[in-house]
Amino acid sequence: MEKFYPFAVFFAASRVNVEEFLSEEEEEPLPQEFVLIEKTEPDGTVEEILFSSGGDIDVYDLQALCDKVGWPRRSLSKLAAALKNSYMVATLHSVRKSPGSEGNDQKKLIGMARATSDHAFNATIWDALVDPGYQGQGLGKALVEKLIRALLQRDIGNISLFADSQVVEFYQNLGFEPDPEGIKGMFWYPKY
Amino acid sequence: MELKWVSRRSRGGKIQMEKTMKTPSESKPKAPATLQALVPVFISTNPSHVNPDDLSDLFIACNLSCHRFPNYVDAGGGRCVVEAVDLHKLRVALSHSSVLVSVFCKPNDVIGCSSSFLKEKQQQQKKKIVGFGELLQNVVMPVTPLNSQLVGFGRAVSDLGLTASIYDVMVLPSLRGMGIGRMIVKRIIRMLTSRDIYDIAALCSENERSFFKVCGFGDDILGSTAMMYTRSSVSTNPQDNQIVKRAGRKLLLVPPLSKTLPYSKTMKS
Repeated sequence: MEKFYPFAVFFAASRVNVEEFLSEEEEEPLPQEFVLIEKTEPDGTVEEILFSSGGDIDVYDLQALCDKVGWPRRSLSKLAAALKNSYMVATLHSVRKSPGSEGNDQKKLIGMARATSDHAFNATIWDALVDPGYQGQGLGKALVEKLIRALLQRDIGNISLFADSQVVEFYQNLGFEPDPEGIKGMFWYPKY
Repeated sequence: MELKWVSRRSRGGKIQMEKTMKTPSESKPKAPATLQALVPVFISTNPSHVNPDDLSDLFIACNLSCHRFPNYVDAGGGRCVVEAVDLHKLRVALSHSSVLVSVFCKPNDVIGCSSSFLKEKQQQQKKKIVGFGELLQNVVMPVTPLNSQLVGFGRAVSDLGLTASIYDVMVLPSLRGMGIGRMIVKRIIRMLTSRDIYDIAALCSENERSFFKVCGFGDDILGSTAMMYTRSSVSTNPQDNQIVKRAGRKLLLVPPLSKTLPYSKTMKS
């Protein structure tokens, strides 16, 4: 592995810009924020889809987003704790700027994915979701890819997740394999 | 942190005699009906009791790796063993685990417990009979992390809000079948549920499945599929900005950074 890395950095340096090169050198995942997509509507309104891994997320907004995709309600305090103790929380916000609105941007949470990890070997991706109104544009893919990238750059190689049946194919297209080499997921069921 | 007794004769998972004891200064041990084949073990959830070097040795003794898809090296004599654990990474992993459980046993008991190994040598070993003197020694000098050997381990990583995942549960091969593994998992679960975490997952290989089943684990009732990242995405052009990472024997391709799309599309309403 030691032999690989210098080569990869050299290779990467010749292709990516300096800012990206520097971020790859960092040991700690820096809160990165950048515009993923920018759209201009006929009336001049600009909508930016902003990606962020800084974990700056309002738990009420997240609850509302989970409602939108039809997930069962969970305790807000547990949700907040889970976000706080996740290795990485990646979010997508829609920022709408109307012409003449004088900096009154409308910011809305439209996607999230998070990963827990022991920072060395294992990570699990939980709660990946995108607002139904924004699905089908590759946003979910971008969220998960960013998580994977951050994990692999930290050399965290066991990346797992538990996919509902309708999204197995989505994750397969991202490089995930169901039950690889006979590895199955099991859950604890208390017997009362 | 407590002293427990496991029965050497309970192969097949059933523990014949198990007692939880407080430290000897607090209470006298009750003499069990059959003293022979009982092994005192010390179970701890204190992270400072885990010595990464000893843990690394345990990984090797159990032929396990921290990588899900480990590299195997030829150890000679036709045996393939896993690569040794990276100690630095192990320390990092331990420091970021929400629960650490370690089980210790006196070195004498470890040596005396190689029953399956000895079966191949036609049962030369006599059964160890614990006399009063030795029982007294176990009482006066109980097994503690300082005077004993690490024989079992397990850990869990949790977001301390909603979910947890159990990793690296292992017991020295010669001490299996005595309920130690089950004790470890039970303790992990207890630590998690006491912090209100009930969504506990474990990724199991084929031969671990029956063990976890006995510990109360089952397939997801919601029918989810466990998936692991094993290769680059099908749609990515391999030449384009890829960085290769080796994790165990899998070559994992890091997906390229998303680029800002230059052209703006109108949104569908």
